[in-house]
Amino acid sequence: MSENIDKLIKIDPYSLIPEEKNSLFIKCISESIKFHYENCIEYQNYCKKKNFHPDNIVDLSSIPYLPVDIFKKITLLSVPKSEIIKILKSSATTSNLPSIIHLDKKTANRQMISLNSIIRNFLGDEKMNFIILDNKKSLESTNGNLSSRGSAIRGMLIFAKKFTCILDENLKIDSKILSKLENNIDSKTCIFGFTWVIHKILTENKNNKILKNFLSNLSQSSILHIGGWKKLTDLSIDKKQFNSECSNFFNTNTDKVIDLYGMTEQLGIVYPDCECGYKHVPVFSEILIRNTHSLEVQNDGETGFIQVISPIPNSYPGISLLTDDLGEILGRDNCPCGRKGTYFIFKKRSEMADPKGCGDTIDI
Amino acid sequence: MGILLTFKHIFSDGISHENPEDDLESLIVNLKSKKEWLHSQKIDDLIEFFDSLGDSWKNSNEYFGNNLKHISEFLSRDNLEKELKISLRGNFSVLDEFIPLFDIADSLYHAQPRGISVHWIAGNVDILGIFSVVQALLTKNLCLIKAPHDYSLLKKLLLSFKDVSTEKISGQDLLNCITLVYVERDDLINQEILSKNADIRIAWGGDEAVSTILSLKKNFFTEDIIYGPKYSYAILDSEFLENNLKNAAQRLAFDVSIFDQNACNSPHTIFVENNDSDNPNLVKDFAKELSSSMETVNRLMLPKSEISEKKSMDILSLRAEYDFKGEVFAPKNTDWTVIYSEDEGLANPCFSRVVFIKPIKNAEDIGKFHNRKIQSIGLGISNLEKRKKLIDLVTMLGGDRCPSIGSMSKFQSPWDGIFGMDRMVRWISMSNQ
Repeated sequence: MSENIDKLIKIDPYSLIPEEKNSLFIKCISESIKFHYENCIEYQNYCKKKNFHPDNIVDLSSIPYLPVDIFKKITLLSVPKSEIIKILKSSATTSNLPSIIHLDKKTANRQMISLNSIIRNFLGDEKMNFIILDNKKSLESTNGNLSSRGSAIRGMLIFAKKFTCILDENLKIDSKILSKLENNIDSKTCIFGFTWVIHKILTENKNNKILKNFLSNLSQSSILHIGGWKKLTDLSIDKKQFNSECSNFFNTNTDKVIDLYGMTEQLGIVYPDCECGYKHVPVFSEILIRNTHSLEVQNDGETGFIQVISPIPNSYPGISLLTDDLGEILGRDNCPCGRKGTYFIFKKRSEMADPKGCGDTIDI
Repeated sequence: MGILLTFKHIFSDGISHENPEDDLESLIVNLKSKKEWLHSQKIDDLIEFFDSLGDSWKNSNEYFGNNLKHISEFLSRDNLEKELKISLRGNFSVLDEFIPLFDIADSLYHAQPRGISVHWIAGNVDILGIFSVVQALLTKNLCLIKAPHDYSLLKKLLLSFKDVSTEKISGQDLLNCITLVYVERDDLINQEILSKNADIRIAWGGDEAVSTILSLKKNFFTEDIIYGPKYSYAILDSEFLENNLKNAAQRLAFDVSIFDQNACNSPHTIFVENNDSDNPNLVKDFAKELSSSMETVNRLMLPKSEISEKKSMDILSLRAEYDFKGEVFAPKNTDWTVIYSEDEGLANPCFSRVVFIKPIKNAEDIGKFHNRKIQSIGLGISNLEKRKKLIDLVTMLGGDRCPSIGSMSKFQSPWDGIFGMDRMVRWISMSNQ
């Protein structure tokens, strides 16, 4: 049943031109949609309400999308509960509710393979020392539930020869751990953390001599960060500024600072920045940009909501998700970095505020 | 006083300034100098002026906003006389002189203006300022207006006073009694100057805005008129709907659309009383009919205003949720949304033309969801006795007004339980013996 999907995720993620990718991707996504349609009655009803049947896929834009926050409100499962091996919770943002994602073995395996393939393309095959800018407790699960931070970190550890979490429980540099670590760095290093945590560390440790001394012994480390820009945008910090501060602080080049765009609702697929600063779409997913008002698919070069489509989720129908992030497709196959496929950038939200006034009843 | 970039003098004496460097206290001194002129105007002449102003806006080729029809109706002589009469003990000549009221022979009464009315106008509905400013001027109070962030339409409407002159009043003279300024919420120095100089503080706004205004220092005798955050809904019964399905849908589509639901009188939920003996399809049939009317109103009468990306996503998210939990009627874009839901109670407002239709077994059950935040309850109930009983119940529990559907958005007295113009005057009596 899922032969095509399993074949797809083994392909070099940025090797196919559209003619090669499209037919295979459509086959896989059709296979996936049929599976969810048949195994998740709620999803089937949703498709019916959208006048969509899996046998009638015209193109990717005809596949119904779910707003990404639907998993904060509704539990959707396409496999029996007994097959669930892990429950992920996203960070609760403005709504204070986390997305809850149920993973079966098949989904988890696919996620691992795809993530492995994407990250190796950017970091190389050699395993590295990982310095995790987080506390080790973040990696622990409670009753099978794992936080989004924990699952993102755990996902990255497959690339680690060794790893060390260097923050204490208050997310401050733990100097004891740092001094132990100092004598044990003997190969390529990757520093990994959530974007806002890294920013916090940068801000708090400008004059931390112990940390500076430690970092001066590292050179040309890769800095991978994930988790989004919302908190930093609130502080009016843009990517260029962040990359520059980050590379200075961690003693590396700006093109070694890599932002990974991804979401708990479609874990296993991340969209890293290449050395030109563009995000690349691997063969096992595709993105569309939709107009924020008409919801029609935008042309390349136009801004809108980013829709992510991937056949990887098996235990839940998170195959076509509309995110609230704004992006713009810059091109396909012709990024100077040499990677094939779609590449895009994030766009800042407009500063338009919705009107508030006498109708503004928050709590009735 | 230091110069603050958070302040802007928009206009006074009918002259546009747009100047951040002017001094607010000097503007207030200038405004106060118009007190005697305004006091000397006759109420009948003021009514005549506003009636002509409404006509002038109605007949103008210029764009005065989607809600122009509303304001023109409000400014009509008939309406203003009714509003004044109901607010001022039945005789609005009391604004001009000492007169007897009712059949009380031994005393004469006169309603004096309080002085300077300061209006904090919210950004949600561009015409709110006009309603409170006209009421203040009719009661002969000077107007100092704190404009919302986007004040272009309010400024345009007010400055167009200049284009109207009646036999007794020139628009320019009346405009001299209005000063329009912009003060940011965080500019507490200027906010406090506004508040301390107010004889009447009129605050339109949400929780945060109104709380900020109420926390400002004021004079001991200042009157507060608070038009704070409110929620509105409608309720219809089967009997009414069976005879008026299309008409009810058209009227409610108008009520939902007119201010894009940003106003306190915009309905967010429509309950349909439908018990077991009624037509089981009626509620969904009504939802379909309403969706058709929402489309018509948007296309032909009241095009939807632009919304933020965040609001657009809120709408899509809610639609998806109720695609699973209920039924959603909506176009491909985000212009309007009708959601059929059997969830109990009042729906949380999403705004932006998103309305819930909910069946309810017994209209009176709605009382259990009532509190003082409920403002307008649009009614579509045929039987007069049933209607009266329901109104008595829901207003006892907190609702402020129960207009017929289609008229929910009309500004009228009382508003939020207040006869606004009554609160804008000081009542004086003298012996008639």
